[in-house]
Amino acid sequence: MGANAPKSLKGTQHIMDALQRIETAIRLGKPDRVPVAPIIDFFSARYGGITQHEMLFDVKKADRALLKTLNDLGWVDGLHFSWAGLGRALLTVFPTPPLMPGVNGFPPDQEFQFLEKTVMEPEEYLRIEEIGVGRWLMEKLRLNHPELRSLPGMARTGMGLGMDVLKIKRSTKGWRAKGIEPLVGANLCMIPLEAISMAFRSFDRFVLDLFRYPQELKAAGQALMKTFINVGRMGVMTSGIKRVFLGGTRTSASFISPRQFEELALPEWQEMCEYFTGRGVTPLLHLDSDWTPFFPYFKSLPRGKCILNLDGTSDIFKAKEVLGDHICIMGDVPAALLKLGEPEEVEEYCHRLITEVGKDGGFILSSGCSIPIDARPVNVKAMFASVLKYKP
Amino acid sequence: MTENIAALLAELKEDEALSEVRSLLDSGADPLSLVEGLREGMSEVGRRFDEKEYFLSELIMSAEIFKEAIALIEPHLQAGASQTKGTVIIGTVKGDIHDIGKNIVATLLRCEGYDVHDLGVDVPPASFIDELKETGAFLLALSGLLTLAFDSMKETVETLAEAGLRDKVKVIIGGGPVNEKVVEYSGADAFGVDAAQAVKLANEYLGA
Repeated sequence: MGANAPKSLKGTQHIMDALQRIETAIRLGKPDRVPVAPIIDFFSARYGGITQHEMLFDVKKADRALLKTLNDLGWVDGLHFSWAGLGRALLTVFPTPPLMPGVNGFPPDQEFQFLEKTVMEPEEYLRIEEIGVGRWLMEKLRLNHPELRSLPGMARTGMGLGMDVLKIKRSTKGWRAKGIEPLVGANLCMIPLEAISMAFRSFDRFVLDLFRYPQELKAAGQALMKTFINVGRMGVMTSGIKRVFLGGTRTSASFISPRQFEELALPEWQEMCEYFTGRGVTPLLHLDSDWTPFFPYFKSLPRGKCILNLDGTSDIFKAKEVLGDHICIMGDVPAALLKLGEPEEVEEYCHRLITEVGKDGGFILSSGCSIPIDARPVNVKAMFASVLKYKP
Repeated sequence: MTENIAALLAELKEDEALSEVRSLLDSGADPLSLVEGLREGMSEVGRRFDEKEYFLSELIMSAEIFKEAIALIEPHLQAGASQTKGTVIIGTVKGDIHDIGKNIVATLLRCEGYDVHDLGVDVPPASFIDELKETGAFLLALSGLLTLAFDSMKETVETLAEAGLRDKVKVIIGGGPVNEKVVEYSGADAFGVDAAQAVKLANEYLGA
């Protein structure tokens, strides 16, 4: 059991509730069993008989579909990042609106996809600080969001988003009452460099900027940091969930070199994590792509206060070896396995995760990124059942 | 002479490499030998990538320098002087619009000397088949990030078979969740874990 585990749990084997199980794992303790907390909404919408559009715009319907899924396929301890009811927010907060199911002719049951377009030039990196982040971000948002070009339009959008927040908050309360802990809800906070790559410059230009304008990129990241932290802080305050989702892909070893990571990205990850852990908020580092070569760097994050969530591309067993005594590891049943594998294969992989990565605690079983929309229900069932069947 | 170009490219010294190319062109150097020097530089970058000295960002930067240098050299080349290693048809399959990986593979294949026909994203099977027929290409590279793309890859390979081209065309696939299981499911020939692997597969299948 980890040094930070609650006193009442030390030396006991009593049955924990979902929250205790998750918090014990985060503090590097050994819960009564491994908790399971997948990203499930894309899958549960389809399984539960609603469209992706309905899931993204109607929290009540999404909750009903999820409840049916859990009743049929097995209960979970936690819900990872929740997409339910986020449609309007997703259409609003990115300078280039994503392809949204049921919007602008995109079929209602297609999977939501980000669109990546260049909306800034490198000369602007230094301008962010000069003109102020708020003004700069609004300039970018107004490029493709006509409703944000007038005060009444902004007010309408703000009202709509406010209503969505209330609905999501009600949903959070409902899941907690059922004994399921929303892990991060919709508390999303972006790492500046990741946001610059995905939302403002687009990937290929971002990579060239790493070589041509590293100092300017660094300055832009610093300029955006405070605002992005505030977005995460607001999410925590309004949702009442003291955990926050920090997503990463573009600053992984699949894309950038250790030198670039160390110089440009790591300071941002550190600053974000230190800010939140310093205020009792747990950052969930949701890391898609391969981060294996960068594992040693994560030893610099506060011990027992963060979650390292891998998507099946990084070597999770290596993560246990390098970081097992430092950070709670979460993952990583691969999407391809959940779609194409047999239940026995899923069970075997989960068994390995539970016994090897879950050994001595500090592990949460999850999907590698999200359970795919077209996963085989028998495989999802096998994944959820594995935590009841196997002990670390 | 070309060794210097190769070294500057391998070290990712963009300004120096381009300046060297300009200066050699001005002094009347054989443009084809400059292209050869650039290819040597790209081979060295590939070697460093294999040895994990370089990462994807370095591959992309080297491809950018290569592209810029070729743009300087091209006006000095006689028509038809530069031969391609073969033709590759590439695209992100139907239902998927992710194109980062696909674009990187296309760029690296071009640097390697292939004539790449990039059909873009959300490409239906029939479009791939039409392009294969029109160009007579023997290699088809399919990309996708969503698990739904696995079905489109399968459908594309089946359509290829229906068109009577399956025995003539090699199919390689790639994208985040793609693995050996997806190769088996889709009926493709192989998958690449990264963009460099895709180039190796092309060289293997097209005998380059």
